[in-house]
Amino acid sequence: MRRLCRELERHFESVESGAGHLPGALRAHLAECAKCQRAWRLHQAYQRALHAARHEPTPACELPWSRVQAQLAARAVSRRPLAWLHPALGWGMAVAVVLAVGAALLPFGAKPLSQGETLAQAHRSEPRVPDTPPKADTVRDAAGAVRSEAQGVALARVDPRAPAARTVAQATPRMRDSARMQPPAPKTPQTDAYAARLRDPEVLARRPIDEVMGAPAFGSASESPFTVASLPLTPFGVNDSATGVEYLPISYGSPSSYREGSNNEAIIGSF
Amino acid sequence: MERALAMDNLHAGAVDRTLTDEQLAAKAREGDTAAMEELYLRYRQPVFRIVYRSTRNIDEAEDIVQDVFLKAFEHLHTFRERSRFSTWLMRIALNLCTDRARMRQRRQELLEREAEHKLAWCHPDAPDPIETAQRNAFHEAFYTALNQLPDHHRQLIILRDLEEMDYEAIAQILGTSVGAVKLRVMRARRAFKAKLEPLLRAIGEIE
Repeated sequence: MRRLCRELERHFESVESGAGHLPGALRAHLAECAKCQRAWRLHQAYQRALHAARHEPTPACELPWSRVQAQLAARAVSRRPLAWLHPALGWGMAVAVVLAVGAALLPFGAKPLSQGETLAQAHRSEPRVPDTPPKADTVRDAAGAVRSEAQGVALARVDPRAPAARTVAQATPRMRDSARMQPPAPKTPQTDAYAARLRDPEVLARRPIDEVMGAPAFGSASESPFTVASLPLTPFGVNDSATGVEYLPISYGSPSSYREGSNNEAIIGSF
Repeated sequence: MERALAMDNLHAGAVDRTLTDEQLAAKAREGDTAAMEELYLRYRQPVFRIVYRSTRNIDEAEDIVQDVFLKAFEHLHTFRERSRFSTWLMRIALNLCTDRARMRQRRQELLEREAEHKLAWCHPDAPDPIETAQRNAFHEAFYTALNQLPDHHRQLIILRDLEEMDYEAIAQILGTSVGAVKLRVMRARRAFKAKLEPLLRAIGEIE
């Protein structure tokens, strides 16, 4: 019985139009089953509703072509500037990028950095040392602190231009490449021996600060002993007569260029 | 309206009316406005009828019809002629109907539209007011149930049972197979009858 109910229900759902012709078995079942009779009446009502809806007069569309055409034209006009701007913007962006890259690569007002880069290269060829900046305050402290100051001074001697060289290397690719292409600075037996001595912590601990300060500068035999310390509060050099240490302002130039009175900011300002 | 139709016919005289839809679409794609106009005149009313069955509001249906043709003409380059132009147009119409239906609060507007169009169903020379009232109740029940259906069921009832499209055309419009369409139509009818039954019972159409 339930099978016939399902079959009849499926028949109602698949009937396309009109009441349709029921097979004999289903017709017999329909005469007996009240549930299927209800479904049959609903189906007939549904077909009537469909018939009425199909033949319901649909109002005519009064939308004239002129209105659609005007809308089309308006949309075309509103899109036209964008269509013109789009490739122009693309080309403009491309030109801007090219100009920006070109401006970054051109060495406007940059001074030759051969010495500093040479020193930086020499520093790169040496075993890596920590980048901790030397602290001038530790000079007056106890023996351990003096040792750290000595190491700091040694670092400054080994690579007085190191911060500047790193800045240059990070600033522009071209300069980084030029820094890479620079041949390492020529080493003399004297400087090598001194550098080896400086790397020995015991030697550094035993040596008084005056001896450290009086040692020849690494990398340039012609230059006098020189110390670079971080003292960002003043642009002028400070002489500490008690320790005999000369503190210089933050310097990104070579000692020689600083002494000649050149403006080291020009190097920084060229980026 | 008649003047608008007359003007439309006048404007459409520039194009050969024996051209097929696809030929007209190709011309329209090249910017031929006469071809666009001919396509518009051919399919304005069929599109309107489907949209109106879904919205039951003349103004809203006309807005949607305009959007359908604007969208169609602006995206003619995407029409690849894998299906007929009419099928492609109906798909756009159904999508826009669905979008429009999702954007509004459906229930409340339905009631307003039903109220607005009660008078429109009354023909001035209707023979019998009682018969008209009964027919209106019947229509009201039918469209109330139809609008209670989810979009995918309502579209199938409109396309298959009201517009009497064949299954293949519906399958092309919906982008699915004929078998899937048949199955969906059965489900849609079942859902529609479930909505319709209490409404018909309330107005005494069935016991």
